[in-house]
Amino acid sequence: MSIQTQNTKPVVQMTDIKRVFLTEEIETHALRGINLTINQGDYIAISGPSGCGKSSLLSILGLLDSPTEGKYMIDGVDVSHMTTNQKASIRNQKIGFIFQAFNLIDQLSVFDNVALPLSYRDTAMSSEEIRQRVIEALALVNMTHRQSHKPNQLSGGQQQRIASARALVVKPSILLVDEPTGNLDSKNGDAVMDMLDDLNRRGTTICMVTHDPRYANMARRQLHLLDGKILDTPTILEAV
Amino acid sequence: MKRFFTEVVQSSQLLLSKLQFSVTVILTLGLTMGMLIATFNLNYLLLAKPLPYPESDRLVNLWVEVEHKPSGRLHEYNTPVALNDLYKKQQSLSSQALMYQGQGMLTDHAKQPNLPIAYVTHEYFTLLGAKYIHGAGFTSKHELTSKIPEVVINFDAWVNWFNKAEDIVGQTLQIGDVQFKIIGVLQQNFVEYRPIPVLDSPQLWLPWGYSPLPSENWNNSFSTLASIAKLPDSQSALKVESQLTTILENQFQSFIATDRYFNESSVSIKTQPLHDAVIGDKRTIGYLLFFGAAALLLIACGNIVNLFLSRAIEKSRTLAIQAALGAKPKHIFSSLFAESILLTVIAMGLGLIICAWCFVLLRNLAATQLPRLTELSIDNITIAFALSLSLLLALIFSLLSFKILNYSQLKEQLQSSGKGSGLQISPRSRNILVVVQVTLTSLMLIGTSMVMKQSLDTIAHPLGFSRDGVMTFELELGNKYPESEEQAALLTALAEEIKMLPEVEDVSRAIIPPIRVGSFAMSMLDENGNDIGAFQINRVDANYFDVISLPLLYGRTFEESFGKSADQPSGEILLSESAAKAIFGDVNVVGRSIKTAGNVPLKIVGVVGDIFNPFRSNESNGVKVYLPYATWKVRLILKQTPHTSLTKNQLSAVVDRVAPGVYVKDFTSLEDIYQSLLFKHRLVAWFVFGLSLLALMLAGAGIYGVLNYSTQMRRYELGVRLSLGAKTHTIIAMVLRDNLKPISIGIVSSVLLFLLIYGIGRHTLDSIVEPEMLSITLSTVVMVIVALLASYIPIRNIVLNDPIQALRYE
Repeated sequence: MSIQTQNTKPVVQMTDIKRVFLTEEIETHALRGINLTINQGDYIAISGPSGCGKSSLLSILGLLDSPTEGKYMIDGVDVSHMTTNQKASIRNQKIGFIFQAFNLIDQLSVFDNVALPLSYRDTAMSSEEIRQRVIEALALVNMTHRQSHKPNQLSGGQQQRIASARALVVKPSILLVDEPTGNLDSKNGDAVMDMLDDLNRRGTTICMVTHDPRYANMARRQLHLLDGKILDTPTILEAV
Repeated sequence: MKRFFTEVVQSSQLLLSKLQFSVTVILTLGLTMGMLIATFNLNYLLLAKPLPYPESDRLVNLWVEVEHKPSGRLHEYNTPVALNDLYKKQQSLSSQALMYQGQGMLTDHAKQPNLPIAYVTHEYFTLLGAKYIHGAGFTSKHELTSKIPEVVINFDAWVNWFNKAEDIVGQTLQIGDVQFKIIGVLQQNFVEYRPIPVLDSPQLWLPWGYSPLPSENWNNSFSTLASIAKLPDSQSALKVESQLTTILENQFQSFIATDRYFNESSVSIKTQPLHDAVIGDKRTIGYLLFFGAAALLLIACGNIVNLFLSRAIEKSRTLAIQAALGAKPKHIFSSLFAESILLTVIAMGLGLIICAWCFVLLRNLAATQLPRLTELSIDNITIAFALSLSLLLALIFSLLSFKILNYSQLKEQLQSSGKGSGLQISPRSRNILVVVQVTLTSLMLIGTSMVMKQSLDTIAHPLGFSRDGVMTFELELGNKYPESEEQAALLTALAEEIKMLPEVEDVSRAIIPPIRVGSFAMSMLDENGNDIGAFQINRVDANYFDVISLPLLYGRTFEESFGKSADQPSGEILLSESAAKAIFGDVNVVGRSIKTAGNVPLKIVGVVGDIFNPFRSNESNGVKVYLPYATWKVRLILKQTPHTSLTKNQLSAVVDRVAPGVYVKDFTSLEDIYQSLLFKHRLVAWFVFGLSLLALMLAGAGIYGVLNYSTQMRRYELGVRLSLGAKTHTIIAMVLRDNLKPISIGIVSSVLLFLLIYGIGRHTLDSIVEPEMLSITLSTVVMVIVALLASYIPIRNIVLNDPIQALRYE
């Protein structure tokens, strides 16, 4: 089954992606042939029961994991057989991550956490350029006033905003979001979802994994995974 | 107590299921504990254990000391005439014995072995409390000058040359051409006193009357001549020294009246507790070995602490359940201690076996460097030390484990989901472990690399002459040919005959071979009669330099050709290049002169190349002088015709034809002498290499253990960085940079510590190590490489896998 949106410029194209986990005794098929295209400006929610393969799919989408089989292209470039460092460059330049557990580094300030991806650029950026980009990203999530704080001095919702700023600072082709509200109370969760909605309206392509139907409904398109396969034919809720 | 034993039994079952952990701890601890126990035993021997002689605290070594007033130089000047006189006249000592060590050939044995022999007065055995398997030792009937042909043999001689014959007493043996009746066999554990530890233990003891020492004048002193005595109960050593000095003063005054060098000198008798005389300045070597072994054990403990802490974390849930069920802190500690003590006691057992091996190694490696090695044994003191060490280590390991478990927080473990204990070894503790391991290992590497370099330099150093096909032997004349003229005539005739053998190309005479174990030096004066120190010396004939292909740099060799009478002093001398430079600087020295200590002028006729003697090469540095041959020792050096081989039988046949009853002894090649001289250096090089490797392996494993733990603690953080696009090399560089800090601190500390130790013990250390930058740099580089490798391996697993694996880690 191939899933496509109406937009013409695809950011992500997956063809027959499979992921098998091998242990000494058990072979687990996490993904059983995923075909997926995500176009620029999409806002996709992937949902499904625990163990259906959501996180595996998101890991492969973000080049954090490698598929066992299948072809994967980002911005028209085949990334299936790239080296570790080539994948790192793609992650750094084209993909932004927002994790459920925020994954901020406690020893670094908010500013340094957000600046971190820029420090991994192939071509070094000037500190002024980095500063501008960080302030810009913090402004997008309304957190400029907290730039000198340490993550553990912030609330969960604020930490997730910082994590979002860190994802946005690289101006990614796609923002991958893993259970963004999983560690937040409903108030903070709603605020983060509003922020994502706002980002998408400004043109950011988003692919989000969530098990909360309320938040899945906020996406323009929903995919349902079960036993490593996409179940439904998607419905385009809204064209950007 | 019963509960503790139950804990021990339970721990043994648990440890069996954790075989890898148990085996690692036991092997690592056993090996290093063994070395420490061995060096402890050695130090106990050197520092505290009384000598195995009756009333050993009253025993002294006694020697004649001459002070040369103008130079202030003190000479240990044991002349036979002085010691004989003292022995006969003294009444201040409870007992006194004389001893001279030499060599003699067992001529009636099929193998005609040349054995170390001691000539002693009868008190020697009584003073040392000798016990016998068979027979007895000398008695008062063996007076100073009496020649009763009786001999006492040691256990080794009884085993090797007489097949442990039970009826040994009454049998005879022949040394040279004298038959001696065996009257006693010493017990195996008899510890003899030797004037110089470098000499082999005597196997035969002959009455003093047979000693081949000249007894007429004060001109010769002998380093293998010694006297031991027992001080009386009531008098101080100082008073006894004064009384004994009085005996010698008149005799010495009449001697110095005719001697230019000593005529402004004074004589005195000195005593030193026998324990100090035996140990000498070897205490520092003992300390160094002990601290080396202690450092190795500390490095190993670093690894084991890490293992124990990980084990404690692994056990935390089980202990938490015990705590929840009412176990008090002492119960938790007892459980940890039971496991620790079980492991350290088993390691101690292994350590004692290793210790016994170390004793064998020490006896083989350091017999000439360290005294009392034959007394090394696993005695009660050693076992008490080993047990205390095991107990101490078990306490340390269990206390550290107990501390990290933190009883008050233990119950919280049960509230966790089981995904992880949350317990961690703090970054500070981890850094301290790395710093300590790097410091100790690097310090050890610096020391061992210096020792190894010294040995390798000696092995690689050119000798300065050719040893190819050169053989040497000495003649055992017995009582035949007593006069030097007769000996000279015999040598001339013999050399002519030997030279006619087709296997022999050339023959020369020399009193000692060019390289050997031992030192033969003579004090010299410059042209103006000023003391210029002692020089290594050989007496050789004109052919000597050709036979060993030692280049004549300028001037000429001695004028006498081989075969002429060589006994008369010709007043000529040859210097080695280094000797010429040391005395005169960079000038042509031919035609100038130096003088013997007796003020006899010697004209320098030539300068030859330096000879490198691997035995104590650093003491002489090639400085050597050559005097014309005199028949003090009847030795020939011969060069074989290329591609031929001369046998001892051929040589013995010629000797027998020319001089029946004269024997060939010490027939050997210079190559064999050279190889035996290098043997110790090779052994030392391999030993320190092995030690360095062991230290590196232990440190590498330890640093890996700690840094692997640190890296695992940072795994999630590294996963995040990777997910944000950090490249492999960026992460590796970042982690290595972080780890480099404790590694650098360790290395700097080790260099500072080395400089501190060297600064404090420079006087003694100079004879063992020669500090130089190459060794320090090399050791540092090797340590950094091993430490960085140990840091790299844990990161490698993270960066080479997909980031999700690091992010999934819990």
